[in-house]
Amino acid sequence: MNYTDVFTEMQQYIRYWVNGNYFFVFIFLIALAFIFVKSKEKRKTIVFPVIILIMLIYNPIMYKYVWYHLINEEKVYWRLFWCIPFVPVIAAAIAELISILNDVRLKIVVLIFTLVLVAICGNSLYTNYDFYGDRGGTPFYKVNNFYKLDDNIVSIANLINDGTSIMIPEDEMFQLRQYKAETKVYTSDLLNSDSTLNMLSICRSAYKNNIDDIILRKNLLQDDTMLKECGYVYNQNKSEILGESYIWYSKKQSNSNTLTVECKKGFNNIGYMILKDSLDRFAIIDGGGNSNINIIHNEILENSGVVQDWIISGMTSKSIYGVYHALWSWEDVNLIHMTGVNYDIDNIERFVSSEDDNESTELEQSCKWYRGASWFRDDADNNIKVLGLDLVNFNTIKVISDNDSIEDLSMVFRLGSKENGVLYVGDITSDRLEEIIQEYGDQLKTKNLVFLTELSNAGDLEKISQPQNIITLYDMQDDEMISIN
Amino acid sequence: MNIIIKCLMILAIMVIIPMTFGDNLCQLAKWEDSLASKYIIGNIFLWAIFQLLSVPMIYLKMPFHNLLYTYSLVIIVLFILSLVWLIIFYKRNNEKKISLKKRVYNLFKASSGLRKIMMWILSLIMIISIAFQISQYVFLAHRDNDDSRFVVNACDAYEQDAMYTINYKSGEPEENITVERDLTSPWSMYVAWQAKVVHIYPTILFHTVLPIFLILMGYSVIWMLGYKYFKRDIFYTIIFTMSVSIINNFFNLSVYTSSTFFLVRIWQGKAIVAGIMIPLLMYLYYRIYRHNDEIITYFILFITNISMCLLSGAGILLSPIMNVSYGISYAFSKKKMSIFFGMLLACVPSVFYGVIYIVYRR
Repeated sequence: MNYTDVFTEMQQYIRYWVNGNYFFVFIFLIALAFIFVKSKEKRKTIVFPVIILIMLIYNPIMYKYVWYHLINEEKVYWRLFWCIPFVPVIAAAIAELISILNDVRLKIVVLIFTLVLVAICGNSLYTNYDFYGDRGGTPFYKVNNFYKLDDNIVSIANLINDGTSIMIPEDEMFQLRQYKAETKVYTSDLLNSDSTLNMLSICRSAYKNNIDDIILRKNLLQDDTMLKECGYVYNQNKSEILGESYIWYSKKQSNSNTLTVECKKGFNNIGYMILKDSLDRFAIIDGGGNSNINIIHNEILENSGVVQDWIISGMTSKSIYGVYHALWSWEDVNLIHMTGVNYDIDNIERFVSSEDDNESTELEQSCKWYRGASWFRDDADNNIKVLGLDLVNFNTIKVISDNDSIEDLSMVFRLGSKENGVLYVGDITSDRLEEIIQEYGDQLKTKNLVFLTELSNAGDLEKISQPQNIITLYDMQDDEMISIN
Repeated sequence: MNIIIKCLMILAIMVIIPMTFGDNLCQLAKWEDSLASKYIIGNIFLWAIFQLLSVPMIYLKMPFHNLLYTYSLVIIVLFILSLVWLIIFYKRNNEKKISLKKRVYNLFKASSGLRKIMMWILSLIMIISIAFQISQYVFLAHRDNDDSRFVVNACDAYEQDAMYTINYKSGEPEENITVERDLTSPWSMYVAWQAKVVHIYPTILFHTVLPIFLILMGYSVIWMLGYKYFKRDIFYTIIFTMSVSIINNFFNLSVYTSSTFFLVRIWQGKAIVAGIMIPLLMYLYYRIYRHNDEIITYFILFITNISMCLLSGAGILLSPIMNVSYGISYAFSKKKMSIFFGMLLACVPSVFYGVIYIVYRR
């Protein structure tokens, strides 16, 4: 930092601190000069020390080597200006000025005149408060509680059950814990959105942080479909108490922790799976690379009524949402192989950039994996984390072939739980399955094995995965459904 | 707890105990018999002791109740000793003591005619101005985002017995102190202590009760300063204090000025530094200038420095800057380097806590 920059920065701080109003500073300097002339003692006790203070604080060398390092980290250099006694100096000068006048009437006139002058040059706190650039009004407002918090916050806090975790907009969170400190609060910038809420991100955050209640500003919520899919229900009683400002969603209560996999035969004999947890949250997984993917999606949509964002497929960039949903919903998910040469990277990056900072980093990593799968093989990582879950033993260099034919777009994965598991091989080709068997061996062990298409080497996979239950979707009746719990 | 008992407890810890300590210290310092200086010095003393006890306990991640009991015990013992001292020397002290009625009478006896009327009017304006500022705090609310840390930390101590080991945003327990600078400036814990003693939730104490006493404290310091600056002339002291109270309303150039902090969020430690402690330092410097042989004033400057560390990181930094500036100026004016070195010595607490903060942060 050179001295021109230093000086510019210091100037900016001053401008920021006085808000462009230099009249007051001018009055202060006049007051200081007046005291200097008027009183020999105050010259020594007030004026000289203040001049030294100003020289010390408003000093480019000191700024560069001391203040910048001590106080600039938080950008609070302006706090040093507190040392300069603006108000006492001006008040002392007024009193001194009055002391030289003999006539009491004149004293009154001068006192009134000087105070009015200061008032005109200053800025009234109670009528023109500066709300960080937005001037006007008073900094105080009326509330009906001694905590001096918004009455809405007190209402919300009184409705929170002990020991529950809450997701609430940031501004409200600041106050909520001042009323009820034991509340576990989670917030995100996403909830303070000026326009519409990013419901997908809110649902993800709620799931990750195990949130019991979500409180949103009513005017920002346009569609609660995703909240409902994520296991939250509209809490009518609490919402009604809160009135027009807020809306309250509570987590569905469930004692079980089971995962149901529903296997169905879809259009054109291509099967798909619907994964459901005990709160009826679900992801739909189809066979991936097939030319009729959109038709299948539509069929699934008709059958289930889910939004397309939750569908996993090996084909479209939309599928990334579905993958995440599966990953949030069940623990210990190993995605063994998900080829994706046709992924629309631009779309994925747009999705990633919409996330908040913390998640963005994680998603960034997962995106590298997607990229790695297709373009950046040298950067491939064998242990990739997506939302905190390890995707172990994924090796892009070995698994991905250069062949981006339609058969190579299949998705093969294993959903594992403590005692149960499903290995899903989609519509993979026999050659690719062979490669995967070679690659993963014992890791393919599972309780349930799901085949989408008939494979010549299915026996090899059965041998190595040792399933208790084999489901062949291609053999199923059109309306048949198999559930795995 | 009954509301009357709560009010009595507030009176005890915010007025009686500080006044008792202040009385002893002012006697020891042979300062003039002033209610304002007793009140201020007593509070400074309470804060300094709290700072000395709390920092090691917070560093060791002790639960809040350890600090609560230890500090309460120390204060009770010191309070008893102070009372004993006052009783033993009651007669001697009593001779010097002047009743409140006499004090008010003395304030105005020297004046007459129009000047006396003017004094009454100015006093009234001053009282109305200060009362208005206090009433804003008492009857209205101001929302400040910094409270999400300062107030919540006190609430966490009050409710969950934790000193800075709960994430102030989420409420989740954490391994280490959530914000490092709180280790050396634990003002929130002091308010949590007050809240426990008077059995009032910290948020109410911060937003409704404390401002009354802190605003009064701020103007007491201004009064003391004016009284010194204008050689005990009450007329000009009133003009000075009234002018400060009026000008404060208009020194709201941005939200960052000391007056805005003083009038809008006085419960926060940094606002106390800006609005009360900096004028207090000026008062102490003036005393040093006038009576530079008064060793006890250097000692009071020393404990003021400790209590500024309690209030805020800004307090740790600003008091040495001021000590050095005034020290240099006065040493040259008086041609006495001992003034500078005495004031430099009073910076030791700032250096000490500053180093602790830097080391801990690393």
